[in-house]
Amino acid sequence: MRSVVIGGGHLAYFAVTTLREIDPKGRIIVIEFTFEKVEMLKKTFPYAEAVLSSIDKVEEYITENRSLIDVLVSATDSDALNLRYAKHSIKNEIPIVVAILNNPLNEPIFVKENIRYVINPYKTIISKVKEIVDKFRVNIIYEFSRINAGIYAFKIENAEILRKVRGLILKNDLPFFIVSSADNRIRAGSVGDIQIGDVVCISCLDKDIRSFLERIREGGS
Amino acid sequence: MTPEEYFLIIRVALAILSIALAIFLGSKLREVIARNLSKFGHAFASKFAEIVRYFLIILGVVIAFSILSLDIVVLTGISIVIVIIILISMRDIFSNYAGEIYLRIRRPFDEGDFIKVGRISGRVISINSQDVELVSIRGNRIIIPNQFFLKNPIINRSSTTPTSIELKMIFRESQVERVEGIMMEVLNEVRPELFEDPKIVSINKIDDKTEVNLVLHIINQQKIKWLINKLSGEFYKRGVEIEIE
Repeated sequence: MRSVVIGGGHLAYFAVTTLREIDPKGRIIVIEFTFEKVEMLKKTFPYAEAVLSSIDKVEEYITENRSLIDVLVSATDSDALNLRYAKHSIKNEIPIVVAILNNPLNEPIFVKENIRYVINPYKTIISKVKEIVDKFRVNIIYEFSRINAGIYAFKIENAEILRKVRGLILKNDLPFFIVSSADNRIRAGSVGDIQIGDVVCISCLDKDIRSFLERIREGGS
Repeated sequence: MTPEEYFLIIRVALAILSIALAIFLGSKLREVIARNLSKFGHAFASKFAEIVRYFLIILGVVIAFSILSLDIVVLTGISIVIVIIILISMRDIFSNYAGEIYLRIRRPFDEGDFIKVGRISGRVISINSQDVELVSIRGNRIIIPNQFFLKNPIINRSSTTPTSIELKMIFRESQVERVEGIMMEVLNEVRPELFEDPKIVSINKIDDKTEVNLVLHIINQQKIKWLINKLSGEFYKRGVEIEIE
């Protein structure tokens, strides 16, 4: 597949290496705005094509190659540029358009502009801190991009939460696993096996869990 | 016969005459309009002509009732009948609006998605009040009336899902080994543009020709045309003549 990554910074680095891993035989084109970075990119990614372009010529490039580009990742150091290129790519019917955020506070702007795939690299900070400190009620472990669903962790602090989580699982017939507080092991089982102190990880559609999250967060998460 | 009865008969005759005249003029005008507007499309011309015809008939009916000097209850009843007739005559338009409401609320697909509805498939370019515009794999622009989506199952393959395309290639070459060798070379050339490694489903020798069935996986459906041209070009460079279906 033909992937185009715009930008040559550290966000682009991860995008390029991942695209290479996904499709080692695919074509990767990295567009950068400075000569020095292009030269560096050629050395860092010998398998990719590094293209020097001015900021205003990128849209022209996308339009010219619209029928060939499969994936476009907008990963410059500017969210304004990322939004601009992502919008232009969607308008040009590029099938997969991904924008990588520099400032997580800009996420709603991208969502409002109908950019379907927005990566917020800072999102994991929240779930990681909660997991490391081991104090939370709800921890959003992962949110899927292609479907409105996620993996949620619930810490069973008391009998009330235990009852609610059991009810949620039984009502929606949700897949789950338990991280046991007794031996720090992961195990599958029935809702009857869940004990106070355990962490229960549930995979669930957003619509099935939205109101439940609000209720369980009451009293602080 | 009293003068009132005499005038009533005259009024009824005039009312019938006005309706008959309206029907006659409506029919004639429909033919003229359909003929003169056919350059804008047959469906549009006949729809417009039909609307004008109904308008004239309604006008004739209104004139007829004003001649008869009917009371308000009767006129209200007649108005309802006329409205029903209009609704029936414009049912396709209303049905398309209903289709649009369904598409906007249920959102079975978005602009940019790759869909199949009935036997038609393509990428959605725009969702409008009366129709949805698609571009087929071969690049043809297809306009589908919204009511079609109410009556047919929709498969949303989404624009981001890799699509498998099957190609049949006929080589004017009977040596299967040579065809296979050249085929592998050419497929290696186009592989960077594909989602996965291409698959040769079958190679069959037919008389003095070789038929190859191939499956290619792509994400961007716009790429098909380019891919076929590229394959033809690569074979041509190697001195091999092929037909691609």
